[in-house]
Amino acid sequence: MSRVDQAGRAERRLVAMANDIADYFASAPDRATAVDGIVTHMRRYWVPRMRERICAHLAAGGAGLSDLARSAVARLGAADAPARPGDP
Amino acid sequence: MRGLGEADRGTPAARGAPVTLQIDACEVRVPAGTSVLRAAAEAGIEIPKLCASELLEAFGSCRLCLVEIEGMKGYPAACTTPVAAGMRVTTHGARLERLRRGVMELYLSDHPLAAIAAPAGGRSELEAMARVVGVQDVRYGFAGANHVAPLRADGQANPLHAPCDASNPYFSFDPAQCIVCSRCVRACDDVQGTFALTIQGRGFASRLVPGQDESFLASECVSCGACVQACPTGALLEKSVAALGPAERGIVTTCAYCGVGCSFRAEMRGETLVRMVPDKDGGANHGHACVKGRFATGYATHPDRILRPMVRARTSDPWREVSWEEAIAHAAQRFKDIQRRHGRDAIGGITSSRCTNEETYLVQKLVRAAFGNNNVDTCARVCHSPTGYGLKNTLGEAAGTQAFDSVMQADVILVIGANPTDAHPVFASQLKRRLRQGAQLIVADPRRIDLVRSPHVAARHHLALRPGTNVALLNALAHVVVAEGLVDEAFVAARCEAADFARWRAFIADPRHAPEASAPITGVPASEVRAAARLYARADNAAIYYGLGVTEHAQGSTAVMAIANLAMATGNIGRPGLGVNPLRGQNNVQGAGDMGSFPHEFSAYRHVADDAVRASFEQAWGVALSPEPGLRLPNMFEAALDGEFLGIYIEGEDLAQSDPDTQHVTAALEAMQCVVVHDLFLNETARYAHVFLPGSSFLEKEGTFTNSERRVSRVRRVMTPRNGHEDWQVTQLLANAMGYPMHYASAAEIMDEIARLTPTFRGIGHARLDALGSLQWPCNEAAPEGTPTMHVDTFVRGKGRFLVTEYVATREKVTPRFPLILTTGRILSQYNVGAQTRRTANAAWHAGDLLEIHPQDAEDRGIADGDCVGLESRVGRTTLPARVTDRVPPGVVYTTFHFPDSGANVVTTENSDWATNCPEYKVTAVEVTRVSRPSAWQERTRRLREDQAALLPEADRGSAG
Ligand code: SF4
Ligand code: SF4
Ligand code: FES
Repeated sequence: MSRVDQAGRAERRLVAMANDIADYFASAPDRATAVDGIVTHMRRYWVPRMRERICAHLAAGGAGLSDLARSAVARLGAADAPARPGDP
Repeated sequence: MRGLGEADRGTPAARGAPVTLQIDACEVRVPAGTSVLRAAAEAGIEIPKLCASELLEAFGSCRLCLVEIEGMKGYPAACTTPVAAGMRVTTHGARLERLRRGVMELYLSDHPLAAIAAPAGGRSELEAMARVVGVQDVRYGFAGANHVAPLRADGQANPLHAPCDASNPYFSFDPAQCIVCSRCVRACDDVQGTFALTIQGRGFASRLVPGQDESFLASECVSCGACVQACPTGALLEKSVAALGPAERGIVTTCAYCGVGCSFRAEMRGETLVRMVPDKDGGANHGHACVKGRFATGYATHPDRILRPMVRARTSDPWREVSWEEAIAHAAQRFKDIQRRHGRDAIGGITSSRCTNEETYLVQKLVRAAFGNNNVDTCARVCHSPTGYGLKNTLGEAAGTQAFDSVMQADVILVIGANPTDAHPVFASQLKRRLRQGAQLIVADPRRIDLVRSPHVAARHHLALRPGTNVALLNALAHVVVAEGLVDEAFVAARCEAADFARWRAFIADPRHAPEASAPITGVPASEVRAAARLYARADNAAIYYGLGVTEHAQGSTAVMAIANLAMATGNIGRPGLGVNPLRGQNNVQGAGDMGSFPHEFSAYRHVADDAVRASFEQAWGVALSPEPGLRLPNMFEAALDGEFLGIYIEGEDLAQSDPDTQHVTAALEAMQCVVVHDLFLNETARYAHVFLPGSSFLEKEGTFTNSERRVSRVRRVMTPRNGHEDWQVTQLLANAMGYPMHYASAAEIMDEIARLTPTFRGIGHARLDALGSLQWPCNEAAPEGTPTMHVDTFVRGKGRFLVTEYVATREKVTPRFPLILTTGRILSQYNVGAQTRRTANAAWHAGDLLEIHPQDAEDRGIADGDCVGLESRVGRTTLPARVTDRVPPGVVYTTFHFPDSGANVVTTENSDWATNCPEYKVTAVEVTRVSRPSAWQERTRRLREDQAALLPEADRGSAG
């Protein structure tokens, strides 16, 4: 596998993972709560480098991201910080 | 033959209110329901017995235990007579002794002691009883009809004689030595629940037969060994005992295979293991075992073990045997180089859920403190990480709620996505015992697993759902509970968060969750779902048991939450007999999580971002720790391919065989600059390794394992580590070489540190475990004796939290090109990647992986039973033999992943659980075709394996694979 293929693949994996998380939080009572849930999840479980890359991917157009995932990644990029202990 | 030094009190313990009676000159107080035989034994009075054993219900056939009881006529059998208040029992006297001698003589006439005593090495109970009763000679002589001699007195063949059956690889049955006491039959029926043995014929002609008069191996015998343990004469005897002679000492330790965590006495002769005998006092197994734990221990001394460290610069170079110092220094140097050139985060480690708690704890400490990052994960990632996530967020603790014994109080049992008779056999035996007592069973599984129908057990409902639709099914069950007014309102009001419940109730009541609406998705008829939901919800005690068939899905975490919702809604949490019970795959999956093996959590599931917790570790370890989560296993592979993750220390895991999408995994391993494999064998992953550190088996080290019921049990060193070091010592060497000092003198010291830093382990230490046997965490000031049942008055998180669980179909869809769904599982005789069990005689039952396929699907493809078939998904292709069976429904194929050659994980994909990245092993769209040759991957891998074998030092050749 060449480095180029892998770059594509890694991005596709991140997008798929973000969309999977968004699918779960889609049933939150309102959009703000859903976005909050996704952002918190990514902060708690994704290494900073993965968060950085998904934000960069959004900045480059965000191909493949679902609507909700897109909103969440935008929020993540705006104020990335370590997770807090009380977060779900 | 019973365990070395084990007393046998004759009948099982009873639980009734205390009763006082008089036995000979003693006043005895025992629970009502106790037999006179056991009551006497507890008072130190030994009544002769042959057919009775503490592990079995009394049977009353040998008549050796006759006693006199005031006011009762004749001579009742002590084993079948329960105690009564005020009873007066006489156990010895001339008349009784004469009667007992008569009984014994009849036995011996048919079974001459000289022939019987020898193989059991002087530990035959028959011989011991003959001595106690005082019989040496036999008035009847041995000339009459018997089954001992192959020839009759007249030189003709003796029709009653049958030859020894040595078909089972681990034990033999010599009918000549059998006294037809039926202890083995009862062990098979009552303890194991397989019903493979019967006594045929009557009188002198009666004899023991396995199956339909077959050999042991050909019969349905599962080789659990309960019969061998029960046999009083040595008719059934471990071949190892026959070969090595009886043991000299017994040391209690814990099985290193599955998450049941059976306790064993390892019986030793010097440094040689003679046999494993399950411990009667074992909290998880109560004296029972399975074919793996009892018999499959030969791998520890297998010639394939690599015993000396090895290094090489490139994976194409020959291995060079080096000293421990050199190997460790080499690994540390390369790790440091990588960090200097690529940053601190460029390396990480994998802890093993087969290693002890102490070892696992030390590896995560190595990564966090010595590597200076949180890039540590464990193979629990790929099996039960969703359990942690789902249960922590609903109930507040990432663990099962019950003890195994709780099942004996369950009235309805729902088994979903688990196959206990194969994967958790000793628990399955207990479960079947409860079912025979009348508990009702619901099975939710795509396959017709053995539990659905086996001797004296039948599921009331088998919900044969399509793979990947667990959440839809669980939602439908919950919908019925809510829609039909079956919610335990009082429980929910008192114990759960009101707002979350209200939201969940509104969600689940929606008609889209009705069984009628989800039937097209799950394939399960609505009427069955409704009936099952009512059965579960109306039971006094309803318990849920689940396994990897729940977790290893794109919605694994959601399904675990749905299970917790269902249990809370029906009030089935907080007492014995019910609860949410994850069945863990490997022995220490629970422990690996508890010890802080996940990249985002310290021990006891506390997030690394928690300042107070992190500060406690920083203070204890004397270093600054990162508040950011580290890489999870699949993320590590991605990062490796991106050139950002280049060094890994892998303790006791075979990533190249056990992780999904094998070719992706091996590409990632190839991309790394320093792969350190610490293992017993040169496994598949070691082909990509630069440093090999020999590991020690569970027989060679001190420590603890934690089973599925949170039970912490001791692992004890019964032989010297053949590789020279216990595994925790190796990790310690590496930490020191990395420049982070560790100075533990024993595994016990490591556990003391764990206890200091972990609130739920505060009361756990080796000395306490040695005194008490085992302890279930939480064990601390609030629960000094441990906690068999969790969430009793309140949930660990305070109030239980209902979470909304929308069904989302997996991305993995069948297509015209890949029209079948592959799901994977395990089989009784093999274990995980098979590194241990494949190196034992267990291959007699399962010598390779098979692909189960429905007759219809087979016919459509021109496939006959036994044909070699190609199995292809969008990521890879392999071949293996087909088994045509209607255990799987049409459209579904099934296989195991115990053998590297069939490589089931070559076809599984990168899809994973949304919350934890636990791979979706259970759903892969595939096509199956008849083929005549191995796949390209198999041919490549075989070649690679041969090439790698050639790179081993001379002495270890032939060891690869
Ligand atoms: S094999 Fe042993 S346990 Fe079974 S009936 Fe014969 S003597 Fe009894
Ligand atoms: S049931 Fe599990 S723990 Fe018990 S003996 Fe078998 S493999 Fe070992
Ligand atoms: S021990 Fe009581 S009848 Fe055999």
